[in-house]
Amino acid sequence: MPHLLDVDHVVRKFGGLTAVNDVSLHLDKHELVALIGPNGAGKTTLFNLLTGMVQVTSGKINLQVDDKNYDLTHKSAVQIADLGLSRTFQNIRLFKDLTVMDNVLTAMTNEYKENFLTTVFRLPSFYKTEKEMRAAAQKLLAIFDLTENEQTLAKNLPYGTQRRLEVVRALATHPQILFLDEPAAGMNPEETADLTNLIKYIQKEFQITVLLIEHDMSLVMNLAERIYVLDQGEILATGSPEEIKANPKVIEAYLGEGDD
Amino acid sequence: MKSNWKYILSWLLLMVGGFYLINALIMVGVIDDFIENMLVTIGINIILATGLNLIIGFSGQFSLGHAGFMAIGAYATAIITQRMSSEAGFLVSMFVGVLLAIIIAAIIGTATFIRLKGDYLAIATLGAAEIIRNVINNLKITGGAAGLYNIPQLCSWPTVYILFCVTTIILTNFIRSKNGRAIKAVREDEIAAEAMGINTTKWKLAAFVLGGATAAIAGSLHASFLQTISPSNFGIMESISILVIVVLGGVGSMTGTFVAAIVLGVLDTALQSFGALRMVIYAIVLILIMIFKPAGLLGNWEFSLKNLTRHFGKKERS
Amino acid sequence: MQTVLQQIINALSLGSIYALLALGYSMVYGIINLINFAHGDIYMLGAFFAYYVINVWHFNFITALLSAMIIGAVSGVVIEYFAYRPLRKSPRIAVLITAIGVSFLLENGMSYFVGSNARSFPQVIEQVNYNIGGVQISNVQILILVTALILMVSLQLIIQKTKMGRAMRAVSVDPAAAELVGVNVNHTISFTFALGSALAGAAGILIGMYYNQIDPLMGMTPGIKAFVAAVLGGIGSVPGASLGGFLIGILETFFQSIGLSAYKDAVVYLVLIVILLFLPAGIFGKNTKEKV
Repeated sequence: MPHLLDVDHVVRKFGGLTAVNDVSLHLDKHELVALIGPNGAGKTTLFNLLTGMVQVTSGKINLQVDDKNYDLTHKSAVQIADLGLSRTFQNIRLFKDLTVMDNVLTAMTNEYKENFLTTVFRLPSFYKTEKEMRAAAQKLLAIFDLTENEQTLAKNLPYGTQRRLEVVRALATHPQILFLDEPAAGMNPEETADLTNLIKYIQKEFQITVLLIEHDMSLVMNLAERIYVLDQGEILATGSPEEIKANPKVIEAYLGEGDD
Repeated sequence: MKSNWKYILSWLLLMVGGFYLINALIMVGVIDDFIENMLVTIGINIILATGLNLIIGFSGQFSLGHAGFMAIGAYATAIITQRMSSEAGFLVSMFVGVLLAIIIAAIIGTATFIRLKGDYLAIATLGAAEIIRNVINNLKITGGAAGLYNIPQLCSWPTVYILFCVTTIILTNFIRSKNGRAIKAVREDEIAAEAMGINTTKWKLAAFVLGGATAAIAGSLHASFLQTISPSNFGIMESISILVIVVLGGVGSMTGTFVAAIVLGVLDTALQSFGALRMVIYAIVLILIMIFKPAGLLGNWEFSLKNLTRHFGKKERS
Repeated sequence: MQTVLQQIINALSLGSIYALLALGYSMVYGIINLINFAHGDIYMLGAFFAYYVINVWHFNFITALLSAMIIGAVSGVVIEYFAYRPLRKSPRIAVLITAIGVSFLLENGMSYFVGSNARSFPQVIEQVNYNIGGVQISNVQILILVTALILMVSLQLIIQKTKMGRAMRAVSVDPAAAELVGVNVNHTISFTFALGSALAGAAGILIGMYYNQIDPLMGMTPGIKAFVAAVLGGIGSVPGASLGGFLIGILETFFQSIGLSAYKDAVVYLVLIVILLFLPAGIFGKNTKEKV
């Protein structure tokens, strides 16, 4: 039985540096998986490979949706996004000068078709589509408690809220798989707790698969059904949170380093 | 739904009202030929500059070749109406100009947008416009460096006014829609836009082609109204003077483009009597505005009837 | 063969002037990311000042060259101080428009004060033509080439070997970091403008000697071509700008010589676009990709 996403012996080299070395992993439907590892382990590069922002040096990435196979290996970021893989960014990449609402609507660009003439001459079908899009966006914003900020410019939001908005925007593309790159970075414990619940909620509500990179171990252990540990570009260990916690290799490479 | 119609109707009334106002002012002699020329120039400049603002301010792509598309429209109209001197000929010529501009913009855009950004893109578009001009300069049908004259005047101020309204409607409605949001997303962050499935090259191209098409319309009007054109009208200096309007008004503000085109048009007319000193004063004004208002006269503020009524509504309530 | 050699000599002397101008564009762009539209007009100022000192004060070539360079440097620094410095933190496009304004001001101010007609440039040294194996070469051409080469080499030495040169390189990489380690950013930018504009002043007197004619709008077209040359070579790079300048000179002369002079501008721009498509950051430029 093939998995939803199959990553098969993927390698990525930058010049002489091997950022991702022979990584194989898989995601199944409706799983919540965490990817952890020390700084510089290649986690974000792996995300970039999976979302087509960076091309693999060798290896294969395969997506299986509704018994259909899609080879993602050499697809562009746009094609991959269209196939239902969506992501957030470690260093927040919102559309800063757009409102919260417009940030979310932007993610629905490909979903709603609107022809040039009905748009520029404001024919009734324009207003109909626009209304549908806004209703869909408002629903998402409400889940994330952002209704109040609808007309705020993204750049004027507090840091933690910006991170939440990025998750909303990624969700607005109706993804099969959601990649979250350090969604709790820079949040206070209260915000982190809220976010943990939210991620759990949306994963159930929207029936999606989530892969998240996170340094906050309480969040990871609380959320993840499975964990991959990446170190120096290679998969060091994989298993349930309990197994990872007990794995001596992991403790040495990662958990032992700091005390967080 | 009903309120939408209210705004559409208000805008339409505003446009029709503007038309009759100008008409009345001409009748009573407040607007003489001199001022009429100024108004037509301002109208044509607004068409040019709003199109360029779409490219620069909204899709974030720096183009320095806008005059090239204007030249295409101008020459299409000049060549066709000299052979087909009728209103229909004018419309056909404008259509041909727009079509050619769309094709050429698509070619230039496809070649450059994938690989070039920022100032490099600006120089490439400048180069492309200069190539167009150089070709026009050397063809027989375009009259070479001397250009074409005795172009039949098939457009008067109402034609300019109507097309000015139509292009404004198209551009502003395009921006305030799904398309506009996609284009702005490309400007804000290309990588994030691609992660949302937005094909950045395609949307940049859409803005560039639409901007080029409106510039061709402006070129047609220019040729038919002034009746004489030559390649030197469409050089780098013309592209730059369109750019000046966009930046002066505020990159990313269509309202600002309107204001700047009017301010510069009036300033230009008012300075006519200064002779050679005119351009010196113009230059100093330009420098001073940029130093004291670096974001342009209006920044990225937009006028909107909706906000206006909201604003007044609030005042009444409080 | 002879005509080819002849054309190469013509191309080199024209190219060396473009190269001098391109260097100024490249340096200014490298340090504050500004397409200094007024740069071509500083070259015009240099040419007019040389015209004046040669005609009125009977300066010889060397002193006229030096005075043109000084007037270039001074005007460059003054322009930067009054027009660009107040906009250091503003959007780049605002500074660009200011530069265009300065360019308009210089061109039209000059037209207003001295009239807009062209005037012939005085022969500062008597022209002597040498015939070497059928190839015509004049002492003026040699002088232009040699002067330009000496200036380019000195510039390279200043940038690579002096303290100020090191400061320039530091500011162009990262102004904030340069300031932290004690580089006076404002002085460095002024110095860059002085250097670049001095070269433009020198190019001004050389072009006067090359074409024997100057006018207040003379800076416009060569200015744009020199900028194209700087982009072609990879903006911010000194050897790139020199190479770009020579390339543009060679291309123009070549198309003129094969009878396609009417299309020479189109060809220059076409080559530019093609090179940019393959080397998006120019020949010597570094292509930096945005990090995700």
